[in-house]
Amino acid sequence: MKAIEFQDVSFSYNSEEVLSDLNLEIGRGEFVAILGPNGAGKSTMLKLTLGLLRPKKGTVKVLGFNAYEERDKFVDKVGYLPQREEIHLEAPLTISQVVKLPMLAKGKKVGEESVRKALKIVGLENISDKLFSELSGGQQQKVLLARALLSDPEILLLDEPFNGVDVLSQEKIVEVLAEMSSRGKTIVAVVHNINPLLHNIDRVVLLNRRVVAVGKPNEVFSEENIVKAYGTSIPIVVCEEGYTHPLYGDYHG
Amino acid sequence: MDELILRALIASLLISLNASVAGTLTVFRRASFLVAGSAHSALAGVALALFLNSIGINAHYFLLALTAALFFALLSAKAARKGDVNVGIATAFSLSMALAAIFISLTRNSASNAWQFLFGDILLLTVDDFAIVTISTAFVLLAVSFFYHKFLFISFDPSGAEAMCLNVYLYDFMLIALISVSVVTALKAVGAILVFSIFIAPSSTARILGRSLSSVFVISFILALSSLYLGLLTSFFFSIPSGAVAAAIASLVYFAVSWKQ
Ligand SMILES: Nc1ncnc2c1ncn2[C@@H]1O[C@H](COP(=O)(O)OP(=O)(O)O)[C@@H](O)[C@H]1O
Ligand SMILES: [Mg+2]
Repeated sequence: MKAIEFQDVSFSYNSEEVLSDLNLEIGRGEFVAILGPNGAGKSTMLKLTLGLLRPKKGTVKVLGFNAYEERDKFVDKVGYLPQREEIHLEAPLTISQVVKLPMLAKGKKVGEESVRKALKIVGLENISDKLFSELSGGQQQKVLLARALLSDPEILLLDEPFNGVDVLSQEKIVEVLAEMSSRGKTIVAVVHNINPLLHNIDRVVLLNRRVVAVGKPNEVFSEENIVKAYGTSIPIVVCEEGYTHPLYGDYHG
Repeated sequence: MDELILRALIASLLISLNASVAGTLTVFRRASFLVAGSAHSALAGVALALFLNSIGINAHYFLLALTAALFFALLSAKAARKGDVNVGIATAFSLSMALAAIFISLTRNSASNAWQFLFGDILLLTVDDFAIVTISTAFVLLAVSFFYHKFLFISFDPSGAEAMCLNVYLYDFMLIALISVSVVTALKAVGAILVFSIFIAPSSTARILGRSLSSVFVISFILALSSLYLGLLTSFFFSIPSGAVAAAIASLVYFAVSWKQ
């Protein structure tokens, strides 16, 4: 059984189609990056996977279940890191409160020990009483990662985990993801810049309203595919270890 | 002590609890407009009640105010779901003010009654009013403590909450509805126009000063209560409406604190 399957999936919020005829299979234990310009439908794809949106056509399956209709059967096995812009900082929550909140909201008890363990994985166990709103972007992202780790999910979906994140935090996040991947977890990360992940991922999906290309990074990053996805060409270099790196400026979405 | 004064002192305490809990949750939910909106739609309900009473039909102001405010809450929650909150709110807001004006103009001898609901008078609460404030405050506090973490989660991270199968729309509506109940609870004592300052100014100030969830609730309670008591005190010595003084104090404290930030 695949971790995630998109079968002829089309989706639109209103009249304009945002995703067309998506076909994609992600195997269990795979580490996949989704890449594409702003408005390509990347976040929408993650939301379809979470069963938050109903496909106009086709089926999305997660661990064999229909994502939209049988959401409650797999929801506990999926961790999700929303785009950080979707988080609101009005309430003065401490780091450990942020980590616990989902469980508490579901009426479950959370042990201090498991919170400490999750925070230790991302290296924040010593500042768990700091206010989330006062952290740097990188620290906030690590807290959200720790929060997702608390329930030890089978599948982890991340929406732009490196946006506004400093290099050290970025390395820490990559390290944690690589470790999860080596333990057989399925990871799907939407990113603007593939380079931090390039050495760890199994496959890349180039998306622009439809799947432009999918495969190993070296196969996907061709001049032709990049022009198809971004509408402009981007310099490509091959590093010493033989990986193809697309070199876009550090641009933010 | 005069029974009316004792009642006013206790009612101030209860209203401060509402202001602290509902006001703070409103600030966390980034929905301050909501308090103004539900207060003004409640006013339309009150005006309808006054009108009905004037033509001999018995209607209790609290029930109609509550119905109107909840209807407004429903509209707001629906508008929030579509992403376009402001147009919906603004339209519902002016619609309720229009209805209020129409009903008040249709009602004979309405001016003084309507005035009380516009600016409130905590010294004029009847035993009935007092009972309503007490029961309704208890209800709000109980409901909020029951759903507290859900309300926090959907305010902090709606996408994450939705991804976890929390029914965000349902809890958002419940949150908005409870805030509306709280506002209607304070309506007769504080008035539709001033309720905004009593609910939002202390919580916004506390949001700036407080370094933890509990401190925000405590600070906003203390600020609301001191404003209301100072209002009562002032109206005791000079004949100025206590609600207006309380609202002015709460708002000025907010400006002073946010100025310093
Ligand atoms: N809730 C929504 N309602 C209407 N249109 C939306 C909504 N969310 C996203 N869109 C539109 O769908 C397209 C894809 O959005 P999204 O999946 O967020 O892209 P990406 O994450 O790749 O930047 C964009 O054109 C965006 O404007
Ligand atoms: Mg996106």
